[in-house]
Amino acid sequence: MVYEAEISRANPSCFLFLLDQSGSMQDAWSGTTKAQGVADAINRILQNLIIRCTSGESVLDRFSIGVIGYGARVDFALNSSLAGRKLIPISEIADVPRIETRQKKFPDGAGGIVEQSVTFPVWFDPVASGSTPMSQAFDLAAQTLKEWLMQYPDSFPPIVINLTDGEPDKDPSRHAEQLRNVRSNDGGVLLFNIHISSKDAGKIEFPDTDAKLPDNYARQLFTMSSLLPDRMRDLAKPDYDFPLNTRGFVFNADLVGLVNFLDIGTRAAQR
Amino acid sequence: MEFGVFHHRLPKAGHDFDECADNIQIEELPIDSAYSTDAEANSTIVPLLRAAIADGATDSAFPSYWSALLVNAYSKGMCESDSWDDALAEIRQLWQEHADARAKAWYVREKVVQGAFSTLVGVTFYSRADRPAELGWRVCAVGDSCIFIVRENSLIKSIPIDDFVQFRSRPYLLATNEQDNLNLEEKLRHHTGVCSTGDQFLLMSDALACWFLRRQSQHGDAILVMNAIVTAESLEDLVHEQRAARCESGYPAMRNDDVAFVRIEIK
Repeated sequence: MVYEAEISRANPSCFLFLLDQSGSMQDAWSGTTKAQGVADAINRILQNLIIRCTSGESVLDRFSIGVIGYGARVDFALNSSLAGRKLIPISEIADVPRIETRQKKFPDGAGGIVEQSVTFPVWFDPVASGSTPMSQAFDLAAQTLKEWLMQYPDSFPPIVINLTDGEPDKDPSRHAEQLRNVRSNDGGVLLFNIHISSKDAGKIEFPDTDAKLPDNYARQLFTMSSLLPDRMRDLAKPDYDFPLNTRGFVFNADLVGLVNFLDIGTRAAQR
Repeated sequence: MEFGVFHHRLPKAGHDFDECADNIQIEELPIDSAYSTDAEANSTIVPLLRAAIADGATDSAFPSYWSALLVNAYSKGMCESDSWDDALAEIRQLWQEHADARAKAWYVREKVVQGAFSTLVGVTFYSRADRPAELGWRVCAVGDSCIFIVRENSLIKSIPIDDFVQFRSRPYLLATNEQDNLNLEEKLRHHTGVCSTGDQFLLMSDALACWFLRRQSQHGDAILVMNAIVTAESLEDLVHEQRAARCESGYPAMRNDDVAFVRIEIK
C-alpha cells in the first residue's frame, strides 16, 4: 500500500512550494501579472491548509512548510522572522502573515453577484527578476526533502507544488524525476505543477491527458506532474470524479482544491 | 423491563482523550418525570430512557462541543419534540457563543465561519398508556453513526446504514450554520418498533460501525465479538487490535478514528 500513511502531529507530512520568480513573471496575466497570480495562488493554498489544520484555538502541526524561490537566485524564500529556515511547522507559518481585506464576488442566490469583504492573509508578494533555474530548484527541493525524510521516514510523502509560467532555462525533466524518486516508506514525493500562462486556453484542472494543453511548456509540466494517488482521487469525490491517469497539474487555475484531497479529518458532505 | 447499559468512547490512536470529538449521553428517566403525547398513536407516551451518540467532524470548528450539545439536546427530548427547529436553533446559538469567545486568531475566525458538523443517532425507549405491557423504541439518525438491533444473536435492524460499502468519507451532517442544513428534513431518519426481552441496541460511531458490518458480512461473528465487550478495557483492546489488523484489501480492518459505543440490553 502506498500513499496511505495517516497525516497527524505524530507523523506529519510536508508541503514544499517552488516559486518561479524569473523576469518573465512580470508579464501581464489575467488583469494583473503572472507574479501576482503566483503570489495569490500560494497565499490561498497556505490559508486553506492552515484552516484545515486548525483545531480548537490552535493550528496542529500536521505539516511542515517550505518555500523555495527561483529566479535571480535559488534559495529559501520565507521572510520576516522565518527567514533562513527550510521547513517550518505550519503553526509558526500561521502566525506571521500580513492580514489584508479583499473584495470577493459571490453568487447572491438569485442569479446575481454580490461583493463581500474577505480576509486574505499574505505571506508572499510578487517578485520577478532573473532567469528560470527550475532544475536547480528541483535539486534543492530533493536535497531538502531527503534531509526531512530522515526525521520522518514513515510520513505521507511530501508534496511539492511548483508555481511557474513554464519557461525554464533548460529541460528540467530529469531533475523532476529525481525529485519524484525521493521516497518515504509510504511512496515517492508528489510533484504537482501550477502553470500560469499567457496562452488563452481557459482553465484546465487536473487533466488525465495533455490533448487540450496549448503549448510544449504546458505539456512538459503535465508530464512532470505526479499521478494523483488513489486515496486522493477517492477523497476528491463527490466534487470530482477523477479518472485513473489524472495528474496533479492545473493550467491557469489554482490548486486550492488539492487541500481537500488530503485525509486530515472528516468533512461534511455538500448541503 | 429493565435496561442493562454499557458505554465507552476513545480517541484516535495518537490523540489525547480530550481531542475525542465523539460524545455519548444516556438519560434514564423516572417514570413519573416525563411524558408526551404521541399524535400518531393518539396516546400518551412515557419516555423511560434516551441514549445518543454524536460524532463531531474533526475538520470543523469546535466539533467536540457541538457533538456534546447534540447528545445533550437529544437526551432532553429534542428529537421527539414538535419544536425540533427551536431546540436546534438554541444549541446553535450556544455553539456560536462558545466559538466566538475563542475566535481571536484569524484562522480560528475563518474556521468558525465554516461552522461545526456532527452526526447524531439516538434511541428513546418508552411505554404507551394504551399498551402498558409493550416497550417501544424510536430512533432518530443523521449521518453515518449507526444503531444496530440484535435479537437472539441475529442482526434484525441496521439504521441508517446496512452495508459497510455505504460508508463515505463525506456524510451529510448536522451543522451549526442553518444554511448547511437546508434539506435536513429529508436527511433525518426516523424509525420505530417494539422491544422484546433480550434485545440489544448497539450504537456505534462510523469506524466501529463500518468494522461491525464488514465483520458480520464477511465472518458472521461481529455480534459474538461485541457480546464479549463488557468493560472499557475490552473495547479498547478490540479497537487497538482491529486498527492494527488488515482486511483482504490490505486496508486496516478498522479505520483509525474516534470510537463511541453504547449497548442497551432489554432485561
